[in-house]
Amino acid sequence: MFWKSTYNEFIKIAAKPRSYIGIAAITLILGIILFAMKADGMSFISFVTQPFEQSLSFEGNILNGNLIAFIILQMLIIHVPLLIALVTGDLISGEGAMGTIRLLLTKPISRTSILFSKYLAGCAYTFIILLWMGFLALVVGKLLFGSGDLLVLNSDGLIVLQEQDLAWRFYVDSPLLIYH
Amino acid sequence: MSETNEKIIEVKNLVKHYGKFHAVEDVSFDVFRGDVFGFLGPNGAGKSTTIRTMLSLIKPTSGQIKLFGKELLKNRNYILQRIGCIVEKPDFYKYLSAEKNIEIFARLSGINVTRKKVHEIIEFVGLKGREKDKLGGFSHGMKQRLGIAQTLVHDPELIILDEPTTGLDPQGIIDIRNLILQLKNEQKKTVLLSSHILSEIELIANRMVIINKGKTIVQGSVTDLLNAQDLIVSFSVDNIEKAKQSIENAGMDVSIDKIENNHLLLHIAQEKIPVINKLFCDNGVNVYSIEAKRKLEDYFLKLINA
Repeated sequence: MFWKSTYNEFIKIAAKPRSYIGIAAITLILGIILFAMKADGMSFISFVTQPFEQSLSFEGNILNGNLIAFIILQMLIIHVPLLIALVTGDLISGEGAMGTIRLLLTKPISRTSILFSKYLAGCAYTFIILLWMGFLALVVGKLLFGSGDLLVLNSDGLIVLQEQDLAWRFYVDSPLLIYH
Repeated sequence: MSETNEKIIEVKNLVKHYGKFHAVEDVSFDVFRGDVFGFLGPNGAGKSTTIRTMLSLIKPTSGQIKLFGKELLKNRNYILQRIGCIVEKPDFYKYLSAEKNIEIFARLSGINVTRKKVHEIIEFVGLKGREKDKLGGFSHGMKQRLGIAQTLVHDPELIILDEPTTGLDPQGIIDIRNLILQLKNEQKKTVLLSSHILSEIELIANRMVIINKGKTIVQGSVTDLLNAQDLIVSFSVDNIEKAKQSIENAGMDVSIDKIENNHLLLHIAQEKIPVINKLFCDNGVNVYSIEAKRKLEDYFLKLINA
């Protein structure tokens, strides 16, 4: 019964027009960022690297796919939860607003099961959005800008992460983002 | 009229309080297998609250509800598998097609429903050809039909319809009525039908209960309850004065309800109609038409105002 209810929730999310707003918005925002970076990325990078240019010399491809993915993930940390809440926030309140919750609760399934199946469907939706975002940021980013070491500027200073060291960091990050 | 004496619904001394507001004070009734049971009461009498408690949407403050001879809250899933219902409005997912909506609810019914069955049911309620259309474009009447399709798709023994004809045009009301009669006669279902319109209940129900202000007022067979009542009979005559005179002269115990144009409205029992008619003929009063109306609305108002 629980899985049937979860399957129902997937059908509902897939049929709702608003489910695609998030995906469309992320595609649009990432498209703009990727385009802007392609057009004038070096001046953006030099803004960060300038203070160090006296003492350090930078070699290799700094404006690379890894850096783009890093910047995008940093920037969208506020937008993505909003886009996700657009759908997941509607999972229960939407049923209430439409009145379908009454019919749903007269079915031989417990309220807890309904709640958890909605939770599970919401998690799956979140995962799909993040996967799409990760694909656009990392895969498309690497295709457009090539690969290289990642430069990170934070409060401790400038950190260089080796290229080979990066993949697992992105993988570890994705479940954390879902949790977020 | 009940085919067996098996009690499908047994509600005993049901009470539901919302804080200080007493929605249901004391409602008791029984529904037998094969009944079309009318659940009557004015707006705010507690009909919907009672139906909601019967479907375990809300918990009663006190009282006992048994369906299919089992305690509701302890056998919730067993009971709900055997019920199809519409509560208040027929609400569906606007962004899904008719067919998908039925499938979604059928999937949760606890019974395996084939796609063929879904199509059969949609055809049965007269929505063939609209299966693929989104619910957003459906009229109220069509949603109501789909609501009935939804109640039937898992082949339940008991069907609970909460005000199924509200907001429908006359043709829609007749269609729904015929559907219910078909369910009763051909599929031998038990139907509980709530309404505040008496004439509707009178036409399709065999037993009924009337509640008001959260209390059961009267329960029994529809024909028994109604035949015990006097009728309002409208005699269309050519000479009102002469007609009145003849009744008074005969010394009959007849109360004159109202006089409208050439119509004399009398408050009498059914068997007195030919007697009065003969009296008029004997006294040379020409009768153009006789129309009998049940004092149903009055009966209802009398009961709920008592």
